[in-house]
Amino acid sequence: VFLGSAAIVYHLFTVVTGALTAPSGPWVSMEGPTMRMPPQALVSIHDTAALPYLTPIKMTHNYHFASNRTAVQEAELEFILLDESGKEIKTVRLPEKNASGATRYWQALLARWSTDDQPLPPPPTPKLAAPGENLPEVTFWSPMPGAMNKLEKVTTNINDRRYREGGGMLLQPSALSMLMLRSYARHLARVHGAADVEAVRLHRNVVPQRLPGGQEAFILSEREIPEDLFGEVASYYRSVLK
Amino acid sequence: VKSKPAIREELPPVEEAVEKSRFGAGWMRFWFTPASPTGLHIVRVLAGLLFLSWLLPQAGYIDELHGLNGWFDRQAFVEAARLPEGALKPMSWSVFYLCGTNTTLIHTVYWASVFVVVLLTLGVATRITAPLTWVVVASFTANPALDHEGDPMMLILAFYLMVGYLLLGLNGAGTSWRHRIFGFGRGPSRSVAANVALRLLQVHVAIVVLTTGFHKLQIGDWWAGMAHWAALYPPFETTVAEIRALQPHAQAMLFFLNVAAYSTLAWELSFPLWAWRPGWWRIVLVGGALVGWIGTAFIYRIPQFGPALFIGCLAFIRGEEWAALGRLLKRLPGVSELALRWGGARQGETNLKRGAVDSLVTVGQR
Repeated sequence: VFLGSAAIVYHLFTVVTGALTAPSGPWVSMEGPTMRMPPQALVSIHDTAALPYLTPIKMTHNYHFASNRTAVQEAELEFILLDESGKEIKTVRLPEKNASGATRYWQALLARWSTDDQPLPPPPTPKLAAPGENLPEVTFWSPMPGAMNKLEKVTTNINDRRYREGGGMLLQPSALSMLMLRSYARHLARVHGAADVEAVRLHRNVVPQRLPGGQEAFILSEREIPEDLFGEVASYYRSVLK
Repeated sequence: VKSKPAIREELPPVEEAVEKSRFGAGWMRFWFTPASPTGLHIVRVLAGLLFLSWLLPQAGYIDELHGLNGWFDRQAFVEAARLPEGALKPMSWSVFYLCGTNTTLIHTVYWASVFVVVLLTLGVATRITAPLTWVVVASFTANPALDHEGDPMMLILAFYLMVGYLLLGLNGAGTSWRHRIFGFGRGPSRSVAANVALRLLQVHVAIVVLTTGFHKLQIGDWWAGMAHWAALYPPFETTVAEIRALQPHAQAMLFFLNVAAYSTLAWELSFPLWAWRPGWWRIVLVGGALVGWIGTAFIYRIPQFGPALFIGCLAFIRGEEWAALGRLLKRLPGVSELALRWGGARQGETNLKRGAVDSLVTVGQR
């Protein structure tokens, strides 16, 4: 009984510390909405006493589910497969329109990763590169000239005008989302014998509860609902593999 | 004046002893009272069916979903381990890592996994199939690209089934050697192991529900009672015409959204207060879980989370309550005849007493 009780107490202690050591927020702060880290003492206890046990039994989830955040974005991806000469071989859509329900579900899970954009830090003061060295680079979504609802992924140096003019409003695809995208593109290249893959993300904002600049607290109470409510945006990754 | 402290010292600390014994007795009663394993068997059958419904649709896409040349390939695993913010989830182990890119091996592991889960669902050799099922669930949820909210819930079910069936009947008097080693045949009618496994599952489910409730309180849409709006109208399937058509019903919609959001919050935040209570509270427990299942499956489109939570909630129902439910069901027209016919057929085969009705749930250990 004593050993059993000790095992039960330890097991549930690790589960509880796992649930408590999750970032909280976003909270209102001077820097805008920010996430707060859990108490450091608890993190230390969790990392030393709980994680070595929870990792092999795969119970490391903190039960802060993504669907609790109500504005979960949705996206569809289009992969254009190219041969050595840059000629298009095939276009693959994710999720596929004619796939089974289960397949569409997994493909939608994969495509959802592409919505994981992260805010870009504000640009630093302009810098000169040291002799023989290049300026640091940044990657972000930049509006395409002449098209309001089209973005392209650009990688440029920190003195670029687009970065400076964008201020702190620019977004960049997260490292994890790019990792997922490249992995799926490699899979497509292996299956179809493509030399390169270009990707496009088709993304729609969630239906807002309240119209930006609207008169009412609830969108359904508004007199007029504009046609461009959803604002579909196409984001061009260009070449994913090269 | 001097004698007072002496008298006080001589008195035994009555209240303290009573408190300690109460706590100790409560702890013992909660965790170590032998209980009917019916609840564990029901969780096993339902969890087995859930695992099968999740595994079988993967049949045509095993290489893509789990192979190291699939959607999330070997290079991606290496890159994910190097990410500064860490991988999405710890990539500790999976049977599929051993298969590499060998298609034959991947398919063999897949069909063997399905076979193991079928055996567990039927209650065959549970001491072996329950741990193997946990290995199956842990391996099939290892791919970060396919991470979804049902994964942790299925892992919880598989883990406590493993704990329960590893311990069930291990030290019980009168259990056969076949049962002790493999889990075949008849187990004990009441078991501490079944109680410990179910209690652990109950407490873990309560932690999950309460944590997700508190997490919701960090999000403004839940406070505003508008949380379900975005899920009800997904951007790729909703048209402006549909939104305009809803305008005459704005107040009714607002009322419905508020009630749905606050009911969800109330159910989750108060869960530990009534989840262990018998009687009419069972309707709140099972009914709430059922509504949650429908909501998460059809509105939020997370097919595994709802049924896993529902099965976790059924783990709170005690053996006596299952027995009472069984008696109630037998009164339904047709059910008693079916039970007698089934019981009669079994009687012919195994010379069981008339009326001893086996079902899928009680086959295996009882």
